[in-house]
Amino acid sequence: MFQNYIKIAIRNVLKQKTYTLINIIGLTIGLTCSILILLWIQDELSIDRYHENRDQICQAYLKTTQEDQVYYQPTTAPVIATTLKDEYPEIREAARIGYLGEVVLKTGEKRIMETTGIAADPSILNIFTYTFIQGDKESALKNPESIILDESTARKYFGTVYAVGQVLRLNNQFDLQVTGVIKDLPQKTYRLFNFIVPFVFLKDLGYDIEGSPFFPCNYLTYVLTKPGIDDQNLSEKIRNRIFATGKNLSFEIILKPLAEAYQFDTGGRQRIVIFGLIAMIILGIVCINFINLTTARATTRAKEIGIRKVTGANPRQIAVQFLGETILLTSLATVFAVIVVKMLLNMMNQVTGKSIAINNLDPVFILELIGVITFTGLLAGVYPAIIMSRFKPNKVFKQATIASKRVVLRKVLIIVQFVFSIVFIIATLVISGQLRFLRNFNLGVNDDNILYIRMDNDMQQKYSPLKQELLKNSHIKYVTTASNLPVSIRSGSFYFWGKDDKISRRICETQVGYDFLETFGLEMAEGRFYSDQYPNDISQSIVVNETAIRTVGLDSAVGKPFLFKGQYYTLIGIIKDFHHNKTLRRTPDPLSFHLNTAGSNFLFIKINPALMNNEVFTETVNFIRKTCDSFSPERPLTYQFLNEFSFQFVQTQEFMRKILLYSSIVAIFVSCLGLFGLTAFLNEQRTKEIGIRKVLGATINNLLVKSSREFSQWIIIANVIAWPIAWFALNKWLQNFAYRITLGLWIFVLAGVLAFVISLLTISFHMVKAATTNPVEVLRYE
Amino acid sequence: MIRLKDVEKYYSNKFVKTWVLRNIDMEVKEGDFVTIMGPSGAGKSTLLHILGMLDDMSGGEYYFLDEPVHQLNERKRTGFHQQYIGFVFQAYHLIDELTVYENLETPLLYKKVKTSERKSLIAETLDRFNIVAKKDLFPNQLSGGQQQLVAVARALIINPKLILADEPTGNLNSKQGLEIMDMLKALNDEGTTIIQVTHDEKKAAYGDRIIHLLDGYIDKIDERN
Ligand SMILES: Nc1ncnc2c1ncn2[C@@H]1O[C@H](COP(=O)(O)OP(=O)(O)O)[C@@H](O)[C@H]1O
Ligand SMILES: [Mg+2]
Repeated sequence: MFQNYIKIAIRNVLKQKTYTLINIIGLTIGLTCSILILLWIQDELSIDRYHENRDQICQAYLKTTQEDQVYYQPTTAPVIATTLKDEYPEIREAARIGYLGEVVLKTGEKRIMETTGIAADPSILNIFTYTFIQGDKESALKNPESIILDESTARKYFGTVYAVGQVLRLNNQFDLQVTGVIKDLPQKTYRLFNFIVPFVFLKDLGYDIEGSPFFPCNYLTYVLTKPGIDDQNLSEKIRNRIFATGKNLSFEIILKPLAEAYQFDTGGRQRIVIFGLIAMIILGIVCINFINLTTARATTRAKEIGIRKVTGANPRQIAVQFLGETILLTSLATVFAVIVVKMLLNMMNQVTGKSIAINNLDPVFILELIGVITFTGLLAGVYPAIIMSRFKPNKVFKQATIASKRVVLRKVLIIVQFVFSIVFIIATLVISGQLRFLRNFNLGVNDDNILYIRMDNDMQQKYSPLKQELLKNSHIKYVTTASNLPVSIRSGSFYFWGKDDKISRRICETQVGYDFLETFGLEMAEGRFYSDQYPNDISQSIVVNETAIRTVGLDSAVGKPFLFKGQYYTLIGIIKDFHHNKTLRRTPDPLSFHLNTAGSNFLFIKINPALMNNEVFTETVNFIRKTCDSFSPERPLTYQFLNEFSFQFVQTQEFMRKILLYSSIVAIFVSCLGLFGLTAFLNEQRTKEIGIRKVLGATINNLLVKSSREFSQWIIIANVIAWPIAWFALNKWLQNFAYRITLGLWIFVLAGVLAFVISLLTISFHMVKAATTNPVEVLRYE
Repeated sequence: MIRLKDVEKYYSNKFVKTWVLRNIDMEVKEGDFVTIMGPSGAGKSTLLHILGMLDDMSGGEYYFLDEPVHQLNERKRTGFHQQYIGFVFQAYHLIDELTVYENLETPLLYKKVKTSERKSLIAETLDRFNIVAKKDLFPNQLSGGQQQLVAVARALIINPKLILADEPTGNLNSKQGLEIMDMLKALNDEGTTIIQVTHDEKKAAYGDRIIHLLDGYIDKIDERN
């Protein structure tokens, strides 16, 4: 039986090449998209899942609530971990992790700037699963001056993975002994690092690792619960423990399972849902093509079905046969899709920043493919199979028309396809528009031609002479320092400030040097900025932004005392609001600027734009390198451009835009492919009608108008349905941004017209062909 | 073997009922050779389809081997096809995409006949109908007469108790037509029940009873011998 089905399937496939080709191409495209998205989702869900204790690891989050504002942050104070471990018997281990930022490691002549090292409690080795090549987790972090390297870092410094016993010098100050070498962390790790030093070592580096329950909130806290402990319950219990109170504030510590932390921090859950939806929609569009083409052409198989029934087939057997044909076709398309996926995988990895690889023999992958084939086969095949199985042989033999009855359903399905295509086009236009809007948004900060360098201790100590030295170069216009990039001032804390009303308010603090204002082209709304002509500025002055003044409701405040963390300063000036958070998700926050005459985290160098060309630029950078090297000989210089700085958030949105762009192209292409096949078939049937009309005197134009009128109606209906859907979804997306484009009608019209023109071109090929056929020829065959 | 009691068939089109068959009472015994005659549109094909359980009836009772067919579901009825009934149509319906061999194989597959038995049955049938040389050809490579021969062969391969033939020779020349009729007669002599529809008096004479249909009613029944 099976052979019989296969034979007939293959012979039909070969007999109806055009339709087979259309179906295979459509299915291949749809399956390619789905498999790519599936791989992406699978990778996304597998992040941090390789730890043996994955289901018992939680991360502590600090949740701050002020009135209706809720802030979650993944970093907490160092005492949280110790408190949790001491007070909750459910918790087996707790560990703190702090990123070291830029440090220089040195051995012999090798001197390298490292940016992804961590300091962590020894218990981290019991919580997470790391594979030791040398050393062991019991002793590796015992000694405060020890260091664990990953495989490639060990190789980088010592040319071998067996580095235990060797010594690395950190920041030219501390000699750390290598006590362990672990395998490189898998790519599927959310928080990557390449070496570990003991947490207590942070004290040597000058960090406060005691503090209060909410200070300094710089560390990731992980706990390992005992087996059988419900983390939901535990989190609830911990949530109710009061660590500290504020008048109008509440602080809570929330535990989130490790599996959720990555998704939570990056908004990944929403993205997975959206991508999954896109994959389903594209598969849906492809399946609609298949259903429409198959049911329209059902008559070509009617005789066969009749005979099969007469010779003893029951409806179920007929349905199974046709479903089988669909699944066969889907399997074939899946093979092609896997080939295409392999070709696209590199590109996809570039776009997503992942390193997904597929292994044909991986049972999970094979299972997924079987799942995809079954799902698609059923989606595309069940309806046509049922239709076919219901053919009555006596009607078939009487040549009753079967196909024509399904016209309404076919129209509905085509409209559905175009609804999705139009929604995709609108979404692409809106997201592109919003991202362009953000790129061109005037932040109020001039970030052009500014280099920034993270300063180490040496440089910070000698900041003033360094600045003098740099300014000797005529191409360098300004030099300043600050604790934050002015386009990325984000971490606020709650203090009493402004006036003494005992209300904590959120404010973002920034340390700045002289010339901060000029370097970034910022302006004062009132008063003046810090200046070395006023020695009092060093300890007694404060500058804030307009929002800060508005938030506490002060007026004509300049020159008056200004409370800040329990001390009064003289408010010397108010900076005009600028966008200190490049994502533009929020309006400006209250900011305070504090003079730091020594160097702070960053060194900013503004190069004179008037003199900029490649040669001058290289020369200037060389000068900067030489100068910095002379001040900090142990540190390899790395610099970046301020205007190239972009947030993960923006990159994520850009990624979404690309995916939607590709989805739109695929959706509209596949929809048109279906339309093409369908019109080809319907025209075959209508050729006679058109022939007679032409004999009766219709002109080509008349016929074209008649055909396109009906088609236009479909597209109009599709637009009417698509617009509100798109409006609703995109309006919601735009709420992510404090500054956003308006959803102009033109975007919707443009998308509609685009869909209309593209699809009209598709069908006009057949219409013109049919309309220009010589009527005599057509009628002769009847 | 077959008993029809007051069978009727109509098509409802909105509010108008179009009657095709009315008050049909008939009985066919095993080994009978019945001919149905009547003008075009009289309802002959419809009656044959009802007898063959390809079409539902609008009213009345139909007993096949004492089973009430009017109460059976489609699966059960399919069971009857497989076991007892072979069809031959005017327009020699063969599956165009299958070879002669595969066309003959199809009913056996649905009947779940074992491979070895299937092979020998097909070989036997090809031999009997003298079409061994044609077994790998597709229907469009055969003449009309040859195609009808294959169609008859396919109807017979399951060794049915009842053959329903709707103008089996309608599209054939007289020599081919007579060959097919002789074949049916020979089968009838071996005990197979046959119900045929024909316009041709000469071919009607092969049967032992002729039922004349007119506008859906049984007009008269000619008993012979
Ligand atoms: N699906 C249908 N709907 C309405 N009338 C039908 C349908 N099928 C057949 N008929 C009518 O039933 C009558 C009998 O048809 P049929 O049994 O094929 O006649 P015969 O085979 O005797 O020429 C005809 O008048 C035909 O028009
Ligand atoms: Mg007839």
